[in-house]
Amino acid sequence: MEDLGRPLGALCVLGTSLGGAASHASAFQIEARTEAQAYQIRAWRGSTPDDPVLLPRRRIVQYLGLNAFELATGQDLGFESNLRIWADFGLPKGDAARVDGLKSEDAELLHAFVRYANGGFEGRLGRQLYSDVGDLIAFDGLRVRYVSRLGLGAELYGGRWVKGPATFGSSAYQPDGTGECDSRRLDAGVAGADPSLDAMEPVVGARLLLEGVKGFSASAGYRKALSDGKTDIERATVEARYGQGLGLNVLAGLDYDLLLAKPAQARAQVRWDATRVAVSVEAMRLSPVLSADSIWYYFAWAPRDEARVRVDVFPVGPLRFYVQGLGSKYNENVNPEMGIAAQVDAEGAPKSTNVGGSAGGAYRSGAFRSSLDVTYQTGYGGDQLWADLTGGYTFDRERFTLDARLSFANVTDSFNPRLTGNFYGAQVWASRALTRAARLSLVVEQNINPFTDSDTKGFLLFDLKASL
Amino acid sequence: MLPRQNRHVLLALAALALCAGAGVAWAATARERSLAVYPQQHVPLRFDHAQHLAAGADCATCHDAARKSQSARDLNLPGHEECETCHDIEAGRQGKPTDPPSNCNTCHPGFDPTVRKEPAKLNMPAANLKFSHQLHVDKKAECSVCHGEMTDVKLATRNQLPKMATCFKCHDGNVASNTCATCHPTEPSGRIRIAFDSGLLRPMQGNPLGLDHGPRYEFNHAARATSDRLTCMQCHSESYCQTCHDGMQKPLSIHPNDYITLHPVQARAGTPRCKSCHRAQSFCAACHERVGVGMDADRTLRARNQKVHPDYAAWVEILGPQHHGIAASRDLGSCISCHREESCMSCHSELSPRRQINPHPAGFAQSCKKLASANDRACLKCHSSDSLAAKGCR
Repeated sequence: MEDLGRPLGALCVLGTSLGGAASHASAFQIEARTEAQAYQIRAWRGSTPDDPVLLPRRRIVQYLGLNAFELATGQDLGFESNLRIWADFGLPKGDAARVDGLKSEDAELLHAFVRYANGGFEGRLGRQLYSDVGDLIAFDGLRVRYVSRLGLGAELYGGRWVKGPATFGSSAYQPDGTGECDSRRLDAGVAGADPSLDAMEPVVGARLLLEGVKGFSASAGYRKALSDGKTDIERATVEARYGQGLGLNVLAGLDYDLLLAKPAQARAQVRWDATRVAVSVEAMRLSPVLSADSIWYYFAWAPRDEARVRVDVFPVGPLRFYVQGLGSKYNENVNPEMGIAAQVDAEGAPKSTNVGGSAGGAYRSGAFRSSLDVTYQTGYGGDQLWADLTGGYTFDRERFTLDARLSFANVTDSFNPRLTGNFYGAQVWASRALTRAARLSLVVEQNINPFTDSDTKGFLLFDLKASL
Repeated sequence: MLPRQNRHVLLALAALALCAGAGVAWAATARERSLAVYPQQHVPLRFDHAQHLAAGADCATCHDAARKSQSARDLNLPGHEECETCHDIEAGRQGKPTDPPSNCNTCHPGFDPTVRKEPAKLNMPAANLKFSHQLHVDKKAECSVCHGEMTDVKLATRNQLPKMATCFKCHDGNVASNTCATCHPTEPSGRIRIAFDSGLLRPMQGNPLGLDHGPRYEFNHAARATSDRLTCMQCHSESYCQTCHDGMQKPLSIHPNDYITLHPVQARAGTPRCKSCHRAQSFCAACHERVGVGMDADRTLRARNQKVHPDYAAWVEILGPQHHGIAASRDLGSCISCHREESCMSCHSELSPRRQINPHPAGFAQSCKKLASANDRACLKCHSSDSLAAKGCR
């Protein structure tokens, strides 16, 4: 936290500079959000009566976004940013120091970039998000993209992958499979502790693009990231999409791991949209995106295949319905030389599939909204039945909103027999606009279940969005 | 365990809310156009388009102003001046018989000028669109192309205003632009404005771009968002995505009540989706170590540890169907949300004094040289440099 002063000062100077340089066409915007949370989860697996509280949360989070648009008259030149500062006063002193990835306070710059666009060109410089069929990443650097009028184009990007231990860093987009930082294990002298985990990680990538040619778009991409001079991620992606409005829409993508020389993610979705009904079929192959620094990257694990069929019905009026079937196949890749290879399908082994479905409806009419969802799944991991009813009403042109949610779940965890039973929850969310720019919300959640008996959570949110 | 009485109260409340919600829903009137685009109207008029068309009027007879209108804010509705072309309103006011009928009640039902000074006010808020009638008239677009045939319509309402699918008959990217900002008002950022006093603009059922944000879209948007990011960015900023993907406040529409207690069984069925917001070795493992689920916590925290796996012998020692190797191969994501690398290395590392069980898949030796040359850091966590060379991985 002591490092905050200088960067915040720099932001203020930047804001002042932007203000000074603004022409009459420029627009400046401040977005602020304050979140306060207070709750505590008690033990549900037999902790001693003297130490019943496992997760005491007393967290306050402050977001501050500074945005500026059309910094030069008539030009699509702007700046967008979002900074988060937070502290959890519920965390017992010392816990954060003992757990990798746990912090009691931090400052994180979620994004901050300058953007310029003109015709088919778009460039971004700074901390930004990037997504494709393989992953969602954040990096500090430059991305440029150009698509010609014929629909052909290219995209190049490069910079530093945002990682948890970096100043103002966040771990949400960091490749998984390793700790954020191995300082604790290094101090403890753990064999295999890695001093390079928090090293700077350059990432570069490129994509060839075909955009909107008779409804068809496609891209072929490449991405490589190096950690402390060695390959961490090396992927190739291919994506294609077709759609011309109602009727047939097709999406497909493949993320190929060049290091392991095998497909990592694949996704195909076919959707038929009509005015009153939509049918979609989706098939996916999913794998965790692991760092090559992780031992698990080389373990004998297998991807999961999923399929989903969904039908949406939109009768004339404010109601709509959907029904969905889900199926997952948990593949395995056990070395046939191992003793357990013959046991994968033996009696008593975890199921290799998980199937289920869900159905629901949503209703919106004027100031009233409501939805009901029921989901059932059985197979690998256990059985679960969820029912969720939400409803809300907006009073006085959004000045006051009141929402409620009732949840019921019946679960049977096949790995942990103590996580079995009926769970009930209720939530009320009241939100009041104080001015056109400011809104205050209060959320109260009450849960009753066989493990914690009952727990209450409170969330207080304050939103401010102002244009200068 | 929940007391029986409380359970019954909760169940009764849930049933009551369900019935009330469903009842209101089924009783609702049809309304399919977005309120964010076409706000609710109040039109206390009596009018019959079919009758007027049959009598020889055409659209311009009453709506001539539309020819020159350049803004969606223009009402383009006829006033008394236009009506007086055929209706003798003054005579009607004086109670004289006219043909066609022209007394106030003809168009303003229930209005009695001897009782009230003015008839009930019309409330027709402007459409939240960028629209020029003049431009469309100049392009020779017939009124009926957008408003439909009026020959069987009495009072025109927002139901005679075009839906987006109608616009896309011409706005296909060739005949006319199909970018969102062509018709939808934008924010200073250039993104589409989605919040209006009359509602939130969201892609609706049958959206002609296939963007329909239907129920549970939070769980279904990934395919579109990963392959068509720029379309999402037309409305949503990075901050919007990060509200969930890098958020600290539980997204109330995604995780149901009591999710902290309930998440294990759902996480096993949806681990890949968890990863889109939660990093297993940071968010998941850190919390699990604090609350006593992770076994690699700092020694001072291990006193909290509780067993979550099946019996130790079946899980680790016996090469049977409950062995952890099968579960790990099928769902490694769940393993790494609690365990650190040293958990596995204690038995799977060649350097371990305990056991040295080879965890690699079949055929791994053929590719190890390529992998180790790209990055041998993970190799060296379990193997010595000499051992790698001896195996042909150097």
